[in-house]
Amino acid sequence: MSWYGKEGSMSDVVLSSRVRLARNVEGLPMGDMLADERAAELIKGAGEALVGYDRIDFDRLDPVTAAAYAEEHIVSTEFAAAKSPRALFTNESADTYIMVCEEDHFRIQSITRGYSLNDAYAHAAAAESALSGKFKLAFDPELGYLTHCPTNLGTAMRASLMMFLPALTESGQIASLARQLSKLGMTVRGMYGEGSDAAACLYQISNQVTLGITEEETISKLTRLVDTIINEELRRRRELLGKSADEAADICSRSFGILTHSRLMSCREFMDNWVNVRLGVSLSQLSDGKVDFGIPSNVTYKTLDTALIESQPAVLTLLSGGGELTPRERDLRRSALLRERLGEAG
Amino acid sequence: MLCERCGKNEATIHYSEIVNGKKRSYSLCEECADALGINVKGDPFEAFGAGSLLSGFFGDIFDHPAVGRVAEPKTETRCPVCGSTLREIAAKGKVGCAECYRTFRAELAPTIRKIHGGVTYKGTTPAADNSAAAKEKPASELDALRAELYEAIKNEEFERAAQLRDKIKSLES
Repeated sequence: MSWYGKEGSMSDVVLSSRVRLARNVEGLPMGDMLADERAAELIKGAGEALVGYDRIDFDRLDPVTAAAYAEEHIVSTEFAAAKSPRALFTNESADTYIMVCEEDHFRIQSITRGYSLNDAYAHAAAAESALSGKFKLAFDPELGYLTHCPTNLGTAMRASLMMFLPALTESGQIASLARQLSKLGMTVRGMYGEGSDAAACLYQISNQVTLGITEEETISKLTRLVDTIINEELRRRRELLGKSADEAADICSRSFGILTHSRLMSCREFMDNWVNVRLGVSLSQLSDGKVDFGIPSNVTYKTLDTALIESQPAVLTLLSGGGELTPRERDLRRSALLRERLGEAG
Repeated sequence: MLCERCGKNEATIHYSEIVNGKKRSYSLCEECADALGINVKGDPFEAFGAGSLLSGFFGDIFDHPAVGRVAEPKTETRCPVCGSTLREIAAKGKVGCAECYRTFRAELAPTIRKIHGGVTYKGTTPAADNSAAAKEKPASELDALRAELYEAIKNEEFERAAQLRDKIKSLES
């Protein structure tokens, strides 16, 4: 099961936690300087080191399946689109995904559901240990882990959280949040679209600095900041509930109606309504069920987050059998999928 | 002053290059400079990295006395592992292999300082078994406690929240 199909803690604000470690092998060219034969050897060696992992050769994968992995946030779009030898190793029970021959030799990532950065780091570190048993990893006492791009030097770790921040978005707080975070060596970017106009109100908050700070310090600093963001987002949701519960319930119920009763649903329209419904689930919980938001109990964060991934073009195409779809055909399938996933039968 | 090449336009670019240790200077108009492949727009180092943000950081490389703006390829130092020159690294904004960082340590230092600040590495080492270190920290327990704390705050059980917070602090330290 992919990461998004699992349950997680604090899912009302945090969809997922991710830790990514970039690692390279000593004495081996990186990026486009790595010859195909040596890339193949590297992939073979990784397979021997990573016991219990499934190997997917991306250079032999059809483009739709490759793009679907990118939409699931498991691989980068560059990795999905490249043509050179490269492989993804997956261990879904350990929430760990390793790209071999991305710009670095290894991009180890662990993606866990909800707010669990420490777990994600433990999984990623375990995978790194497996690789370091087989390969001499490039390291320098002053610069840390040596990476293709000098911006990643040091721990070469990117810890991030995917956060759902509709109330902070609505009150225009994202730009000031971004400014404050950048002063603290952290960064925020929209998961879909850019800046304060991020579709689906989803943001990725991550560390920017990797040199001069340990892995644990990075995680604990990020955790403290994220705690503050969560509290502020929830405070504003409660405020909304206190001031205009009926209006919020109205918007949410209508959006749920659109998601479950449409016949042609574009991706953008889906995301706009998805935000309202996801917020509605949270507000309903915050009101202790006193306000009726019109969302059946089978619709949870897990159902909604799965629907978000499944509504993306490539994943949707795969779910419909894999044959190429026109945008209109996708809109038709998206509506059908939402009725099935979120409707009463779902 | 008119452009030395076309003699028509005003020379706005004053360009020097070093060939075989001899410095030659030119005064050119923007058009001719462009035709000669001399980048002039904005960042003087744009030519070395297609204007990417990162290659801007590499500007400092060319302030280094060891690197002339135009050097003879034969005399350029190459990384013994991947064969990259400093020029190639600056153009890409990325190294060719790990050894590049050692081969060009002095030349890359200003760039790295610019990106990261003047700090040295702190963190794990590949020799150590980091998975064991990570496990020693009760990672899952911490995450679980944090989730509990979150629920407590949400339910406005502040006394319990305070207890949980203390417990988390003691585990973290």
